[in-house]
Amino acid sequence: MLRALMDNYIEVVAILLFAIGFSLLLFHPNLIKKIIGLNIMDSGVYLFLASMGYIQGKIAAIIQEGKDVTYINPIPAGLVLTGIVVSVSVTAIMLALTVRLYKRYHTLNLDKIYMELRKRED
Amino acid sequence: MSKKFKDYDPNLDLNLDETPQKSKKVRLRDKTDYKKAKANIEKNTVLAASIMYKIFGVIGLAIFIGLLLYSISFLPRFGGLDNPSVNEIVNEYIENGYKNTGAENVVTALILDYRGFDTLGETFVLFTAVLAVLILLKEISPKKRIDTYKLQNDIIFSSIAKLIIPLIFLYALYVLFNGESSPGGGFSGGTIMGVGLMVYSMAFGEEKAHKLFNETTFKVVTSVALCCYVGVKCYAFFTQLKAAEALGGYIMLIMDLCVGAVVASTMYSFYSLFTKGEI
Repeated sequence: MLRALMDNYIEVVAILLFAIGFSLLLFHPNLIKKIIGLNIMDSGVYLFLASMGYIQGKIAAIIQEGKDVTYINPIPAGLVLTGIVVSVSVTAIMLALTVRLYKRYHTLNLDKIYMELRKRED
Repeated sequence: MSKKFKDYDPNLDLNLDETPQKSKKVRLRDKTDYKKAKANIEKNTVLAASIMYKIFGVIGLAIFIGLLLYSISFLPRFGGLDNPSVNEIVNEYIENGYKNTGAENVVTALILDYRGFDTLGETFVLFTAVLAVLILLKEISPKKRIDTYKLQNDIIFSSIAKLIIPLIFLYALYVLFNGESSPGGGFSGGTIMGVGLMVYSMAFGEEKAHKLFNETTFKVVTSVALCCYVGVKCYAFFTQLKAAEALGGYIMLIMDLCVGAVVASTMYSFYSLFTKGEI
């Protein structure tokens, strides 16, 4: 198993990025840190997807006629493009919601916002 | 609730059938002790809950990441020649991509011709995101902000921006038009154009930028671009023409320009909504 981890080191790095982003999301009560954690998780997933397309000894998928070369797998690059666009849109909406939450509760701490919600319900 | 919160009087709420004068002081002391004890219990449970949450969180995260790392040993070797991810679909795209679409960049041929409806969905996602942020952040009567530092008064920034903004737009047009034969395409070119609009708004002031690009412009540009993309793509789909022949071979260029327009207006709208409160 260690041999597999050494060969596929790019996937290991991608999973470590995912873990770092996930721990930011879990353990910090600040809203901005949670949004940053989600963005780091996204980067880990893109790295994992894009590394699936590489084939040894072949070059990038821009066809040059007359040369005797072969090309890599272009499909994961298209999938990552979609992912980046979705990530940008979701981050923008989350930040807009954070601005409105701050104007209403004057704090960015999620625990305090939750406590205040429960107090107002009682 | 008919009573307002600040009219709440704690002494009036107890309906004890005893003599009011003597038992009033006893009632107050009981009530404050009871409140303090309740607050103490709440604080201790909150502290214990947060410590338990963190411990269980670390354990759960370690198990989860351990499982993911263990599953890497089942993946095929990185960059192997006979990976199962290389099948006949990939060979079809690479061999016949240039013939069918006229684009040398296989990724652009993928996202604009073979999987063109996916790109349509993405542009709709961008458009919807701007609408959602518009609902959340738009100020109906924007108060006058007091900016002590305006970027247009900065001599270094404004004089360099006047030189650089035409070059940024030129580079954006180059990346847009060259999406088929080199890395680039609709998304990158649109982002660069959005950045150019942002620098224009910073350097020349917000009133001039509002005259150039306001909410009506945004609605017109995105609606026309989306309808044009849908129309062109459906024409190519229903007449079953290859993209290298439809509309004289220029169909990919039209789709690139439409996507670029939507992305540019989206990027500039996000910047403008977060700083000004209006597009």
